[in-house]
Amino acid sequence: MSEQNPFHVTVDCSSGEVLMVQLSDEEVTVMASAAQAHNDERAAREAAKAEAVAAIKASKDPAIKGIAHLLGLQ
Amino acid sequence: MSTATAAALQQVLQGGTVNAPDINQLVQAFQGAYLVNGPLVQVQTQIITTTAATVTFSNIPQFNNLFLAWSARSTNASATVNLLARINGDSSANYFDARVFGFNSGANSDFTSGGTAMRLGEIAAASAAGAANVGGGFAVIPAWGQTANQLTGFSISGYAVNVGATGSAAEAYTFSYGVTPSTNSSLTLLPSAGSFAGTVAPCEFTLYGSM
Repeated sequence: MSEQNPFHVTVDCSSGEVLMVQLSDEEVTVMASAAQAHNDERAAREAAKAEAVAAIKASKDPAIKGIAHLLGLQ
Repeated sequence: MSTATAAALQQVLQGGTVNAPDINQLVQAFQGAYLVNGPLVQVQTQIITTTAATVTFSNIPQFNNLFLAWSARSTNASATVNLLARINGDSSANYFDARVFGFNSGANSDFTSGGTAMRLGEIAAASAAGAANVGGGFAVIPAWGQTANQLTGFSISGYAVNVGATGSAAEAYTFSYGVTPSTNSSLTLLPSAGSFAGTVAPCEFTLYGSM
C-alpha cells in the first residue's frame, strides 16, 4: 500500500468521530480502471457530438441550416 | 429521551460528573427537543485535505428533511466529473437521476436510469486551469426519515473551470433511490472518476437537517 493511496472517510453524525481507512493497492487499481473507462466514454461522447456539429454545419439542407442558425452553430 | 440520557441529565441536575458519551447524548437530546420547532441545524462538516475516494456521513439522525452543501474537486484527468451519492452504502444499480444544464452558450439535458449511484452535481477535476477551481452545490432530500416513501430529491450545482470550451455550467438535478423504502442512515459521496483532491483544493461537505 502506498502513502499516496486515497482514503475512505467516514464521519459519524452521532459521535462526531472521523474514521479514515486507506484504500488497498487492489482497490486503487480498480478505481484507475473505472476512471479510464469513464474518461474513454466521455471522450467518445464529445467526439460524437463534435462530429454531429460538423455534419450540421456542412449540410446544404435549408431546414438543417435554419436549425443550425437557431442553435448558434453558424 | 433514552434511559441512559435521562440518567446523565439527572447526574447533571444533581451536580455530579458526566462522561463524554453521556454529554453527547444530552446534546443530541436537547437538539432533538429544539428541532421540534423546525430550525435548520448543522449536523456535521467534513473538510477533506487529503485524497479521499469516498466521504460518508454515517448514523444520520432521522430528520424530516436533509440538506447537503459541497465544494469539491476531483483528481481525475479531465476538466470535470460528477459528484455522486449512495444511500446506506448501496452500490447496486438502484439509482435514477435527470439533469438540465446550461453550458457556456448551450443548453442540454440527460439522465441516468439504474445507475450504481445518483448524480448530485458536477465538480472541477485535474485538467481544470486553476488549482482553486472546484464545483459547488446544494442538495435537498425531503422526508429523509420517512420510511414509507422512496427517497427522492433535487440539487443545484455549478462550476467554472476555464479550460478551452469547457468554461462553466449551471445545472439542476432530480434524483431518486429506487428500492423498497426503509430507514435511511448513511450518505456516501464520491466523484464519478478519481478521488476528492483535498491536497489540491480543500473539499468541504456540510450536512444540515430539520425536523
